[in-house]
Amino acid sequence: MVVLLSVIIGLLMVVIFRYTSDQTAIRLAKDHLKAHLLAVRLFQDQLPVVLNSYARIIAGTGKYLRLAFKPLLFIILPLTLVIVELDRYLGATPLQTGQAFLVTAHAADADSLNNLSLQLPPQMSTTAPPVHIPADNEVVWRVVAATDGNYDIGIAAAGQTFSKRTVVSSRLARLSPVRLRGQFWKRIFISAEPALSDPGPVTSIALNYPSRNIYFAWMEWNWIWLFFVLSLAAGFLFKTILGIEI
Amino acid sequence: MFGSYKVKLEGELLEKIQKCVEAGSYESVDQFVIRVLERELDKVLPPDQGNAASKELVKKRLQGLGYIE
Amino acid sequence: MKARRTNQFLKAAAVLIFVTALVSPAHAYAGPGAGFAVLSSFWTLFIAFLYSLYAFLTWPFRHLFRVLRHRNAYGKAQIKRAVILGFDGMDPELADRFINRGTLPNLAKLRRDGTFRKLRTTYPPISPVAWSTFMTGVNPGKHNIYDFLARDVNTYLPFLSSAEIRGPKRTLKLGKYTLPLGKPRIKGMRHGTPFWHWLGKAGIFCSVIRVPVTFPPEKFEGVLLSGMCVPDLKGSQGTFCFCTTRGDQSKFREGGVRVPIERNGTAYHSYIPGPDDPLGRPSELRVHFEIRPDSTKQQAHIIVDSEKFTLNVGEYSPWIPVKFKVGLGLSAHGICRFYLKEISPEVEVYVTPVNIDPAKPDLPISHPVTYSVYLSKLFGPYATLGLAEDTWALNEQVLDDDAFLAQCYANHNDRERMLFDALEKTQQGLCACVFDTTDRVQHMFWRYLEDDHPAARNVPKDQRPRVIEDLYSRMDALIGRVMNQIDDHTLLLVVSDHGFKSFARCVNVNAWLHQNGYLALKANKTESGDWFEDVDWSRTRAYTMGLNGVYLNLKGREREGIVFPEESRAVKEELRSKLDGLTDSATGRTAITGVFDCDATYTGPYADNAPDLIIGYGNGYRASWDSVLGKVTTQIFEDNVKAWSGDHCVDPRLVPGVLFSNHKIGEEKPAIVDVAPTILKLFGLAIPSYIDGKPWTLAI
Repeated sequence: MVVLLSVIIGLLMVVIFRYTSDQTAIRLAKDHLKAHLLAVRLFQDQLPVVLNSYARIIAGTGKYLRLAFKPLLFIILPLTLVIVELDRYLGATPLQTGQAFLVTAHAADADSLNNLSLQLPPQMSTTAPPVHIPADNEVVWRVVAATDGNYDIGIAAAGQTFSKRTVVSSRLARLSPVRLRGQFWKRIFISAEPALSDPGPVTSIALNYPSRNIYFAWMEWNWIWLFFVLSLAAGFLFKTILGIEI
Repeated sequence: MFGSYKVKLEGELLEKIQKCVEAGSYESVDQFVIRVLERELDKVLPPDQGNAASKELVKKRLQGLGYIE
Repeated sequence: MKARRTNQFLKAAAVLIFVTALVSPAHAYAGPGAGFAVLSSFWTLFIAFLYSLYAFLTWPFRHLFRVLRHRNAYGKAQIKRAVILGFDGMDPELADRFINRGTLPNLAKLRRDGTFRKLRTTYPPISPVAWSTFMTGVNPGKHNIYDFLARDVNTYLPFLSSAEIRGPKRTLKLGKYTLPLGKPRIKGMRHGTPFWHWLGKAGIFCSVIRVPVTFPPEKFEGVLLSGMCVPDLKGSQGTFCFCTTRGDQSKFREGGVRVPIERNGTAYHSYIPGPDDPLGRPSELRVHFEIRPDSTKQQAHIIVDSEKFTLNVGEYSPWIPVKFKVGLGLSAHGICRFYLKEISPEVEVYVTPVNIDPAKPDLPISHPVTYSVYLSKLFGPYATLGLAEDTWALNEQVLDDDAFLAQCYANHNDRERMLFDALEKTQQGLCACVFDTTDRVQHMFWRYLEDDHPAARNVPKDQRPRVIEDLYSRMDALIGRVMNQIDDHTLLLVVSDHGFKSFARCVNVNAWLHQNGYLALKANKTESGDWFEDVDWSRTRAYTMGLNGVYLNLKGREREGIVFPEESRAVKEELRSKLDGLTDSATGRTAITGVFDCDATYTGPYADNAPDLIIGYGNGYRASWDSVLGKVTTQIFEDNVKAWSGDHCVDPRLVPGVLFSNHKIGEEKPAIVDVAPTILKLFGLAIPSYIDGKPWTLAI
């Protein structure tokens, strides 16, 4: 699946690049860069020429990057969102029945720690007393699930209950490893749940979903690295086949 | 391209060759030796018919040379 | 926890790269994955940095090494830099005339403040001969170039005198395929050492651009782009392609092929013929293209491989890359330009000869090989063919005057850009560049200079364009721009290899030899086809081939030679006395003003390859088109009605070249053979004893 996605995204991105960039100008800019590189080699015994060529290489790189900036704008936003969303599916595996996991609640201050309590659905139970870590304003519970399903774990404090979505499954599922209060950018990139109410005694509730490893080419890969490598390869391949300058 | 072969020239022979190079306005001993060998080969070996260009090939190669039709 | 943090780190890294790309172009280029950002521009920059760092850090050591090796290359030099601008065929009489009219201010300045002389040329005054002498400082007996053509004494067939290209030495036969194992073999046949080799050895950097007879490029310490004699992709000296829907099946006599255009609905299809199949199949390679005419807009859309472009009628395309696919992953790379001649009622497209692509040269056309690539990347594709201006397309009226001139000046502008880049890169040393435009334009437009040239009789005098005067003005402007870039420590030489004269009447010397009993035809023949098809060698004592040379059919040398060596001097004397002063009875003018014995003209190791006599034609005359090809006709004289109406393959005394300089030169009668020793002397180098030229005295 990662392979297929990488190839498709690789193709899409070079096509977007093709239609949002000035191909002629990019070709020229790259050619000039190559020429100045060759000049360094051809006229290597003439220091002024070498230095001049180097200055032109820097200027040429700047020009090339300026030309790549516009298509970048068209590519970066959707690609970022796609990667973030894919990571929610591929970054980690859901929790397994009978396998203990940790629920970590982070309080706004150390005084609130003693007021936090865990509210579990009937299919879940704790396997050890909570551990308080005042230095980090954290309470950690060890929990185990009896059956597969999507559950809401609650953290009660000061008369309020803060819930956290928990997925116990053996299939591919959309996961949110943490629920946060505020922190807009972090929520966009890391959390997949609405913000915790603000102000409130709880600032985050996290689960330790196990990270997912993909076996490909005789190696264990994290999906992002595999995606980088494969989409890069696919992009280079399609750019050559389609005659696109990047 | 065709391989290479080195011959060592020394002593009186080299001295004489150097004199010929001067007298014959050759550029170098190398040029003299190669030229003498070329002439000798032309005398000894039959013409290389295998490398002789055909009339059609000649025409093709000369096509576009503005000075000739 | 650890796994989660790793995952978050990876995601953060991805986000960081994207955000960095957004806010700072320094690491940008994002493609399908953020990795592109690193692998694209950053990679280029990185390589550049490494190269530059290497060059920078090692420069002191290399400089030291150079100083030790060359003992300060410029220590004895009288000049810092020599700039040689070669204008092939620039004529001193025309230059003088136009200077006096006030249209060449920069040449006038050189004449006034520096030097203007006639430059004695070679015997014969033909570009490959004269430029070979220019670069080596020796007579043709030492560099072995006597004409564009030389003859095979075993077959009486000609071959190009400058270079020979053969297939790879080894091949592998696989069924119907013959796989080449290795590269084509290119053998340069010009001997002698160009003076820039001596300069390079002494540590003096040289940039040499388009000097004729520098193909194949030889290794030396400098950069060089080959000029005249570089073939096209077909291996010829330039074969244009004329694609047409017209039914005319006639072939061009020379220089081009006619290819039909097939109509298919609203689109038209044709092809460009390429080189022979290197896998040994009996066919040529082709590149197909499509034409979609739009008669309302008087234009056509042309599609060649992945290239699409639109041309108006009468417009050239830029250089278009074409790839001739061979199979087995092999292909030949070329470039060509399209010219839309007509779209209604017929569709006609002219395609230039397919030039070797300088960015992907299938044959070496520069030294180092990367120099042609460098120029291509810096300025875009450019003509690489030796004789890049398609004179035959104008002769055959496939191109008109304007289209031909547009082609010439487009090539010329490319070379100007190369020259100015070389000037910038060569602040010390030698910068030499030869422009062919002067030669080609004078060849093709001399007819408008004369009142009664046979090739322009149908053009009213008041409608004749001043093409040649305009040509000289353009060259003068170029010289002016170069003068602005040089200082007093730079020597500027403006030289030409020969001048120009009218070519109004053709002389078939083979016909004369036949009529005077020196050349015999086979029984019942009154004429001979090309390359002596119907010549009876057993009764032939002399023949001519090429532009100025006459050969004895010498026993022991020619395969069917009959003239004994001991008779040769007498036969030559006899021929000289009869040919010298030959008069054209139709005009009363002298057609041959000199016949030169090569034994007295040439000295050196290759003098025995020379013709036996060199013919010097009078003003207005040249070897006939048929005579050059070894044809024997019944007529000795005829009018030349081709656009190719000026020439220089005449008596060398009639067509000296030009010598302009920004410094005063003492010699009253300088010769082109003197250029090489003069430059060596000015850079403080010893002049090798075999060199024939004498260095000039300059006031520097």
